[in-house]
Amino acid sequence: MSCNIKLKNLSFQKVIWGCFILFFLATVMVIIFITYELEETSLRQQLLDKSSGSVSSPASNTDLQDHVLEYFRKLKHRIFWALGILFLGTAVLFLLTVRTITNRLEKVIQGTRKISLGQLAVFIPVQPHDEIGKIGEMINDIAANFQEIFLSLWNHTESCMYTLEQLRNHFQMSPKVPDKLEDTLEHLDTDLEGMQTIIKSFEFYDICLENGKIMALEKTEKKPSAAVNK
Amino acid sequence: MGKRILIVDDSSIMRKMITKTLKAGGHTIVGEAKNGKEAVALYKELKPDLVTMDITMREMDGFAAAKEILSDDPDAQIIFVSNLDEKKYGEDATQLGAMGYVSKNKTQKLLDLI
Repeated sequence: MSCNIKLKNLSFQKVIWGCFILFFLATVMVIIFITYELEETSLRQQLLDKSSGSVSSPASNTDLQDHVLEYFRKLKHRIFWALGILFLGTAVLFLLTVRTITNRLEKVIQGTRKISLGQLAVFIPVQPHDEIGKIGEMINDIAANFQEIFLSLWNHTESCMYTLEQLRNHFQMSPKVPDKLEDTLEHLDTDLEGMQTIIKSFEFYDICLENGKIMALEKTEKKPSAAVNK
Repeated sequence: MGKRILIVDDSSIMRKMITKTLKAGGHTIVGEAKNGKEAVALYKELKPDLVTMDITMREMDGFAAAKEILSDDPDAQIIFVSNLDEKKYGEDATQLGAMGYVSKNKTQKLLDLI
């Protein structure tokens, strides 16, 4: 159970590093195993015994033995270098891929954090349009929807406030207004103002709230830092 | 007779809402665009009878997209649908050559305008 919780809490980066270390250890073990196998004298002796039967003179036999030993030595080096280069190449590619993925995920995290703090003007990069790009696109869409809902609410509250004002003016002219009704109107006014205060605490994309109206920001006022660039 | 309409809005909820309103009025939605750039490209491709256009959008805003569409096709019918102040931006929309301006709070008015 505790192991399960630990695994769930592991960050993506730690898992990747774990995989990389495992890959490194596996490669080292393969290199050690092949080197050990090639160093194995019985294997070499078997090969020499088999080949020496086909050679008649002792001088040729010694030459052949030297040749086989030299061949084994070169083979060992070539395998060692080939595996080393393969490991390095794979490791570089692996690390570059991991870095790219984690950097992009970091941008998504930063953007999501800002949106959660009410900064709806944030734009998460969606290119390249792969899985991470699609997540970014959906989060941007959620932010855009929030903005629409809040602005729509703002317009409705403004409209309600206007109606409330008209009602007040109407009641002011009438001689007798029940106290309860006045209290209700006061309550309504406070509620609408509260709603507007909440909406004002958000940071919207490309617009500002001015004297109860929703205005577009002029080109010069627009914030270039809206995108998550870091 | 129902019209072929292209909806342009960066919010999926608004696109859905406008689609619902227009379909109820017997119109056909031929396409949806998320920003001005997509709108210009889709307009050229689909040649709709009418475009409903949001104003504040990323990449290219509604006014810029409408200008581009109208420069390509001066007969293009565009209605702006936005949350922005109707008095100010309604005038801007008319000056641009748009068919009209409807507040997002009153999308039913779209049907009257069409």
